[in-house]
Amino acid sequence: MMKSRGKNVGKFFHTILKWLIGIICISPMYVAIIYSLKSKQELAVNRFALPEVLYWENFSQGIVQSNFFNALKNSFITTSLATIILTVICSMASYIIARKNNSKFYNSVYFIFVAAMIIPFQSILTPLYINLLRWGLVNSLIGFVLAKSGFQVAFTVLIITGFVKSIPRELEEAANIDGAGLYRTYWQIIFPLMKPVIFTSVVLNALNIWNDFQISVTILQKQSVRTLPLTQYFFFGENNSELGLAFAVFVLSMIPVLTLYLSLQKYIISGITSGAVKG
Amino acid sequence: MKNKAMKCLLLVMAFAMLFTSVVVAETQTIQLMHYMGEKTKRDGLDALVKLFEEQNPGIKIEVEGVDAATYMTTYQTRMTSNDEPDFYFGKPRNMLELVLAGKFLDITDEAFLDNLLPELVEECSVDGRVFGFPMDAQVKATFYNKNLFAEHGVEVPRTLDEFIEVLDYFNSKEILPLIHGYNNVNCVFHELDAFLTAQVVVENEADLWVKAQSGDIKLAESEVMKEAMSIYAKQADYFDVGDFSLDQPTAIADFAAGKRPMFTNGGWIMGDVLVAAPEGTEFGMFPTPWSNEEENNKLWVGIDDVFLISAKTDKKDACLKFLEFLATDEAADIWMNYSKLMSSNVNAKTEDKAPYIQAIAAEIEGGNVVAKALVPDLTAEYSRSFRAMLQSFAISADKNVDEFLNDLDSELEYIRE
Amino acid sequence: MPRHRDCYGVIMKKKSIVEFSFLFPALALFILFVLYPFIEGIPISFTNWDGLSDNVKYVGFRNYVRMFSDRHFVNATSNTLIFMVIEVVFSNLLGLFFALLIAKPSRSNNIIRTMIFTPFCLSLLLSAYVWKYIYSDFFYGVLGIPSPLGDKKWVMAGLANIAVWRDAGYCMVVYIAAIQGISKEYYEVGDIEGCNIIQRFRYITLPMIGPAITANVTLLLSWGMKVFDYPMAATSGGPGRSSETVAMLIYGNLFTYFKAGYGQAIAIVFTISIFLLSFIVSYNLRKREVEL
Repeated sequence: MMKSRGKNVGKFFHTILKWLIGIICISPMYVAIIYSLKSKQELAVNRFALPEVLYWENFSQGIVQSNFFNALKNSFITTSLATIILTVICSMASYIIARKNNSKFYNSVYFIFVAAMIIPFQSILTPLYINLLRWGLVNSLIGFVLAKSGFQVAFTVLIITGFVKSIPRELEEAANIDGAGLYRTYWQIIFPLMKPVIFTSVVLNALNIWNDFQISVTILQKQSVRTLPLTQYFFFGENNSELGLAFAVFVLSMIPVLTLYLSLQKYIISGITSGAVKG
Repeated sequence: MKNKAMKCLLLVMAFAMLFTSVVVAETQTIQLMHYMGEKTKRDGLDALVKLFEEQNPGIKIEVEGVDAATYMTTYQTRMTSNDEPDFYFGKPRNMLELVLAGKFLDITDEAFLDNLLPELVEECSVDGRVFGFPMDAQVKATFYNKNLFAEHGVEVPRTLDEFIEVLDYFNSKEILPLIHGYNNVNCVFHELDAFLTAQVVVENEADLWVKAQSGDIKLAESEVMKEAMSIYAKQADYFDVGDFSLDQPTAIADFAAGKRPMFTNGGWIMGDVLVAAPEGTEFGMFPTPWSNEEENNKLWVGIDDVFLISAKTDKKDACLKFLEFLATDEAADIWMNYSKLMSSNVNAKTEDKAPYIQAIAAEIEGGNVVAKALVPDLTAEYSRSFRAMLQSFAISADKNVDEFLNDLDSELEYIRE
Repeated sequence: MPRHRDCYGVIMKKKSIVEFSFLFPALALFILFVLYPFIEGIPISFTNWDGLSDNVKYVGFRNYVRMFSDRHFVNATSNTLIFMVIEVVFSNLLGLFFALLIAKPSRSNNIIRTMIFTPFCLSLLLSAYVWKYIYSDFFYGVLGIPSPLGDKKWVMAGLANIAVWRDAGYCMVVYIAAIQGISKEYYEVGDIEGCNIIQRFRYITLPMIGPAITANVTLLLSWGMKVFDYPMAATSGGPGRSSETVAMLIYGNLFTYFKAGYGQAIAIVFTISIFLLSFIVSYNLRKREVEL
């Protein structure tokens, strides 16, 4: 009797604790939501209190001034393109690196990828910009897609390689005997098995590219090609006290990202198991 | 017959070529880059561009707004990669290295500069040559909440002693007298610059910063500097620990809401203050006092929005034409209406403008101003280090002026090496 | 006989070309946009280029030597290290703790997991702004605790807190995956032997998630060292220079101080040191993995 009651009490505290932690983690969003609903006057008087009037103009004005739908379109195009490119080329690269792990060449390539994840963007900003200009890629969405993909290659290959190592080689050997070429073997047999890690890398890459600021602010300078993070940063400027607008646009830009995460979240767990873990 | 036909044909061809060459040659597109964050200013620029294009068919202006915090990076990246716009934006002396590297067009001999206030043109010059076109006149002063002053029966202070009396009075009523946006290094600097400029001009040490940067003088040995820092320290002593993390937007919001009666900063805050303030609040300004002789406390007047032409532009005439347009009375009026700022134009009509603009016009006319042009600031790394150190000083509990100035001198020397 | 060998050679060559074609696109993109610009930047570090003018003088290793006696570099390095340590340690500790709490697959656990991971979906800049106002308006405005961002001693901790809030979610998700991958048999054996909760964790869970710990620590280490966006958005390096990080110092030298040569030199030393640090840390962790 005593033992089961003790167990129940323990379980009770466990439940309270984990819900409390969840709520605490998400509570800072209160600031974003509340501030986005207040007028300038209310933001002056008492920022943290609940809004007396729901000031929806922050949203309508924010959309107009930040050229929101154009930026949304740009963010959407660049994120989808870059994610697709990365998924295709990195899965292929990871496959061959994982399979050829007794080759010095492929191992060194892997090693260079790992090492290069560390390069800080500031150190390559100027040479990269000059190159992009020479290749006509500045102020173009495709330029940003290519440069950002280049940066994400290392991380993506890392995640996927670990997972591929866990796929047994027997399947490929069987396909080989049947006379299938490498491409067919890969796309028809191996790739479908990589679904969990593919979904993981899709979500992680999409998050990273959607939220990117440093690379996009360098390459995408013209208004017409700006992505969402660039338009929002504008509102937080020093002489621009548009807190309400800033947070309104922020809240709006969160919606696509969260939707993506919520719809793909169950795949992430199974994908990470062998991927990011073995890194 | 054949000859006549040939002649006709040749004539037609000649006309056609003339026509197309005229049309083709005249459509020039100017690229203008700026970093104005305020929507009112951007709308004003759009209105001006539109009017200019109407009056000058054949010239188009493409406006590109970049981020104010990183504009130097953008400018330098464009310059290094030879992808420069035709117009830049910013204060020439804040981009001294770029000016000295010959990146901007020298417009000293242009006639339209005569339409502009000489103090403002002067501030756009380096070594006597003019590189920028100033759009408006800005001020730095102590802005105050008229309602709070009236409520407590406080009069506007005109001397240093009166000012300290006002500060102490509010403090004794448990109201902190000054808003301090100490999270922002520029906010920290404006509190000093607002009165220091007048002080060094009156005391004949206007080239204080230039000499300190080149090592010709030591700030720790300057009596003027010591006095200034003591006044600054006194004002900083009326603080609340929350001020250390108060940034510019929230400082403006707090001032608008009447949380504290005074805010020493630049006139650019007034647009937002007026919008955010509760109904019926009125604001005024007075030059930040540093001296006990009233006529020494002059209002800081300087440039705010300035356009520069790239030295590498291939459309020099079109660009100069745009500046010429901006110097007209018509353009000045449009700019004043949108930006709510005092125009740089000597003929600017302020009768129908906001009371704030009229107050500035009155001060300028009364001659009670000091031009920022006379006191060039520190530049680049010197400026950054100085403002960071000033911020540390402002928030430190124990403000030792001599120690601060000695540390500053050694830091400037360190950078020089 | 030679013909036979030729045939084999040709087939093998064709096969290795096909294999290389798998790697080629990723490698090309990486070299063009990351490696090549980085290498291009190396010569600049040996000059006194100011980022602007065309006259550039070769100065050998002077930039590198100066760096180590530069008090601003030392300041930035110590700030960065403090930030990195707090971020790595607490993100992982909290991430692991949360993972242990909600590793069991269930409806409510999924919801809580989403709540904890959501911060990771925000961009770095926006997270910094949200927390800037929480510190000022809630911690100080409501609770009366002064914002850490205004205090020289606490500013790096205040910034690191933002990073932990974000990254703990990521660490948690990785640990949940690792924990769920532990075969139940091990726990059954433990139950038979009469293990209590602490022993279960120490002798079964912890060793089995070793690789996950190594991966997370290494990754977060590099994120922490490169920190730029949080201080840039929330404090601009202030108060004074007490939240200036190495990445910010590089940026300042390149674009505000007109010392591009020096900035590049710092960038190269910085990259090499993070690499060495990651290598040492991950090597030691991997050794521990094997032992456990």
